[in-house]
Amino acid sequence: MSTVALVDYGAGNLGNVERALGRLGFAVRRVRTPRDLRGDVILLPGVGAWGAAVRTLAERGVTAALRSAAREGHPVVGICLGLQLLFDRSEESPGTDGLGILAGCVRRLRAPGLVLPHLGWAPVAGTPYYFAHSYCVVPDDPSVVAATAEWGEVFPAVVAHGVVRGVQFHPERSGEPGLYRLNDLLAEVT
Amino acid sequence: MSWPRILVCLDVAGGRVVKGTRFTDLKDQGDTVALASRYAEQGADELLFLDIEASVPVDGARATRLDWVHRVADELSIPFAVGGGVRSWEDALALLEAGADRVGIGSAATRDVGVLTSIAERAGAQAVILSLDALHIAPAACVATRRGGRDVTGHDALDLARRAVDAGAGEILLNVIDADGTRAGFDVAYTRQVADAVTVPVVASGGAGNPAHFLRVLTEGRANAALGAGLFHDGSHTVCQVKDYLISHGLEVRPC
Repeated sequence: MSTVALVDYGAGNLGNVERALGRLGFAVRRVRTPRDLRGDVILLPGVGAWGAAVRTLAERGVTAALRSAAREGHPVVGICLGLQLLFDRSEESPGTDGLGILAGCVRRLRAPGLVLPHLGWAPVAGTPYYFAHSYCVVPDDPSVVAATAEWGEVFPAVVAHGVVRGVQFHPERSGEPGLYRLNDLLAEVT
Repeated sequence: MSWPRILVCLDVAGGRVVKGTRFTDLKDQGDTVALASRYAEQGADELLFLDIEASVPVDGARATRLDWVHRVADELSIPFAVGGGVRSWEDALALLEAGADRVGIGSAATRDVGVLTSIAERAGAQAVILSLDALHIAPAACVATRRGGRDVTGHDALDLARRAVDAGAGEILLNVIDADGTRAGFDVAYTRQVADAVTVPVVASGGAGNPAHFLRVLTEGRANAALGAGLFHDGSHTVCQVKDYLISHGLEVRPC
């Protein structure tokens, strides 16, 4: 059985990802200190706000440990905010650094005439997944975008590079198809 | 593009789903987890649980609530929100940690919209819903109320909605008290007024009686989502029937 190191930003609701991982047969270790950062794959969940998450990770000393783990080729998967944190910086909190595991930035969705946050189910390559976000990632290297979705503009929904994966939607909240997708993401990198 | 959402609202008291007329004459409707699963299977896009006892301070009530939120989260793999008695970041965090994806804030926001900011800064705007119970004082004007319409505040509902969005709310759940429980249709005109006034999604609530009501409020009313309760609980309609109706009338939704 593979173990997932689930990173805690102190913003609540790790339980739903944990439940989904449990259903898929993964063991979970919650990461609150650098010493917890052991497991076959590191998962950055999709809860919270950029600024508060960056601060909490830094205060707990996890930021540096995450960066070095990624540099050493450790598999990393990010969901929603967790995907965004893989990048260098975000318009949500200018002046705070992301993990910089992937090169690029995070900016507010450009959806003229449409409401934000973008909330609800949208198709990604034909399968509906649940989205809840106002920001999207803009990778420096467009070839890391594996799939897109649309809300006013086309934005990256799935990012893949080496053993790094990220999804803008919430597979753990997207019914059965979401669970399969989460399983595939983890299987691809482990 | 995301589809308009169909939500089901479940009023919860003592860990069980209840239904009453304007918060009185409560009747037991069944087990919270079983009903939640049923609506998820019917194709509901999201569920909203309203803890109607939460505004009444009872010893142990909070622990009871966290227990059923946990049990719902164990069962569901679609998103759900919990509202009722959320007054602080600590209240919100307890619900989020128990498994709620989003929280609804009502009465506390009519006293100080700052509570929305304190939650949004940590959990993100997408997790913060202003639960706005609006009561008409004129054909085109509503006031915000507390405790499900029992206490009228001095706030214009439209003005409160705008201030809530500025403070960090990521969605407005607009429940028009005058229509609530009537099953005569949503207040389409007022929903449109609110939707035109804010930049975040609006969930229309109050008055759902048949699939045509959903179509109207999601098109003419410009709501991004619409919520039903009684018409689903009494078995007269399923979520899937509503969705099939919408699709057959040219409005795309997530297929059930």
